[in-house]
Amino acid sequence: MTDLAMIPIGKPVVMTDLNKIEDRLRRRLLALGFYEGCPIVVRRRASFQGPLTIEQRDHHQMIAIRKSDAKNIGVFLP
Amino acid sequence: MTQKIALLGNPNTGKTSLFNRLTGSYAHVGNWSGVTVDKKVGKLHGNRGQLIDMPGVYDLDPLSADEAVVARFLMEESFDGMINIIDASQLERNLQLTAQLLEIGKPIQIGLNMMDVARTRGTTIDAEALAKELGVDVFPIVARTGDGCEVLLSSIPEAAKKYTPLRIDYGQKTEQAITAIIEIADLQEQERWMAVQYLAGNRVFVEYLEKKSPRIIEVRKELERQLGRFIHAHITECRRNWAVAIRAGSVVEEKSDRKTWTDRIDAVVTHPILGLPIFFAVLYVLFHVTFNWMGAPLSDLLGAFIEGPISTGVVFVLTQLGASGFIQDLLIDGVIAGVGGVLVFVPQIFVLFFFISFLEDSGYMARVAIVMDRFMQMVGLNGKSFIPMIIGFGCNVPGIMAARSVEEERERLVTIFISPFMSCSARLPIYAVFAGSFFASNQAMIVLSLYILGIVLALLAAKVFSKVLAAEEATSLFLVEQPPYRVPQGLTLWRSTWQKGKGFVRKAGTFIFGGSVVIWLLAYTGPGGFNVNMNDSFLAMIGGLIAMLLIPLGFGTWQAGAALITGFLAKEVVVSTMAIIYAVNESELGRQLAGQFTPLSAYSFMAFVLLYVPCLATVAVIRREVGSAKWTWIASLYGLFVAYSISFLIYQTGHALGFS
Repeated sequence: MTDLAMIPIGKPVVMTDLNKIEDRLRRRLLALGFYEGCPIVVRRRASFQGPLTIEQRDHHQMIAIRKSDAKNIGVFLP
Repeated sequence: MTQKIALLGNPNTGKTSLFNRLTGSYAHVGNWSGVTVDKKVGKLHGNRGQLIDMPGVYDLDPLSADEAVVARFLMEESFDGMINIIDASQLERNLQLTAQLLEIGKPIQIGLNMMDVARTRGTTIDAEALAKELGVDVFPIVARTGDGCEVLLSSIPEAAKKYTPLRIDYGQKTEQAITAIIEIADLQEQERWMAVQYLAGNRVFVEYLEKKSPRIIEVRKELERQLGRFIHAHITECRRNWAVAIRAGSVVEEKSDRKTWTDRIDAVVTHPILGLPIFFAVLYVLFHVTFNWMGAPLSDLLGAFIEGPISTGVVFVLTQLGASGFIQDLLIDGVIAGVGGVLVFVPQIFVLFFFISFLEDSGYMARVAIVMDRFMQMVGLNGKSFIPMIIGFGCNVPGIMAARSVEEERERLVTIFISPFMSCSARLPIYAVFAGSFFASNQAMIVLSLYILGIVLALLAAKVFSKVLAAEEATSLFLVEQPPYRVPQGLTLWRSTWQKGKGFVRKAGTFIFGGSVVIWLLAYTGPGGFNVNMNDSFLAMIGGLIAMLLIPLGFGTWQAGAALITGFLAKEVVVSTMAIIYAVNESELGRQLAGQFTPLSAYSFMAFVLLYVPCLATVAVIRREVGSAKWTWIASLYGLFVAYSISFLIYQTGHALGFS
């Protein structure tokens, strides 16, 4: 298991741990269909350590989150 | 009694388009209890009642002040039904909200939008099957073109049928907790949804129910212990399972891995290196088109019309009526010069608002938030704060209100405080006059430099305010949905352009009209009586008082002093005042000013006008959004200090470098 910030662009992974992030961020992620066990992929990274654009592979929802938050999200490489 | 229908849905699902399709005009803007927030209320076509437009939310559980409005409305207001708009291409996510609305048990209709987008992704939805699964009416619609909206409208039930609330089984432990809460808090059976919202930690319901019966806290804590995980995660999972089942029964899906247009555009505009230059290029093109290509020629045409046929017409009618010299002067030199001087800029302002609406509707703003987030973080803000700032280019008032979408309270406040530095469209007439006569050949460049000056100072101010307001633990929430790009639709664009621009026209009829009459009177009268030489007028005396302070800034004339005082009413009044003082119309004003200002002092003056104080309307909205008199004073007056320092620097440095 590793964290989301380490994952290269285009590598399919599964989100496994949302316990370490802030409560409101977790609530918003859940509402947008990002939950522990869902398949995701990093699509883009902004320059200067900026936000990552990630996609939920089941329903193609795209969101951007900060790299500092991505560091606290656990993922599993299948 | 007219019935009240609430329009609800996720953000970016075409809610505003549907609102525009179903209603004629904005009937009124109402206030709802709780936070004072403007709600759009429209009259449904065919006298079917009122439609209330709610802010877009993903969940009834609010993370920002804006979203809390929805939960408060559903809890406190009485309404007769709901229309829930769903994005077919994101069915599962949208159904999360639908589940919560169905649990309420009020009459509900579903508008299924963006079936076409879903189809390009290989998803076909059977609307009839979906209706059967959900147990409510589902109408396939295309909100952009209006297809299917008629059917939805005509099926709004006249008299409310009985609807049974949806009951999702949340599992034995949670169900027991729900029952316990209903009992302890003394809720009705049909208020079960409130208990569910409470357990999920929806802060609106937590506040309300815990005040009513504090004992329920124990139930929530006990349940969390039993589940061994966050309750909201468990509840969301149950709803997701429900949504997955519904989806399975109504959707035919095929795999498609086609690269969409959105991917291709994003590869360019959010490019790690190109993203930022592209954003600034977009801004430059926006201003260039607004000023040089479209706005200026249109304004010239309108100006010629006001100076020509209208002025001569009024003079002719007044002479025919035998009006006194006083009345003639008042109307020609006061009202027409003052109001006309501002009205000529209406076309430019509408063009600017049009482009801002275009950027908002296309989906580009969400990308701007990504591109700008790192920079905004450096000054203690959030990429999302940049969106209210851009809206502030049109008008600071909606910009400040848009700051509600920033979840973190500290970041929201700072965004509000720095908003007045965003150069709004009311400052345009001033730039247009000064840049037009002193920097004719590179007008767009000069104006753009002022906008950038505003942005840079806003960011510096943000840094200072963030430091002042920083709590022990400065948290920040950043999660921005990246919706697919869309070509904005004509009707919606026009509506939102008009919505934003009409305030400017209305101001011309009220503030600027009144201000023009008062300014003209002050210029017409003096200690020596009526019709005095302007230099001996009351206005000259008032302006003269502060003119001395303005000498180091390069424009220490009583005319500039008087114009700046009146500019507090509304920034564009600066131009009206000058037109009245110099007794000329707008096109000649530039020539008049050439004798009073140098290019350097003109630039210093423009910078001062950009920064010095927010206008009256902005101060009022800051007061309302900030909710504290002290912070309103600070937010309104710190600009004066900044303006003085910057203009001083510009003029004195420029002077030392040999510019004039």
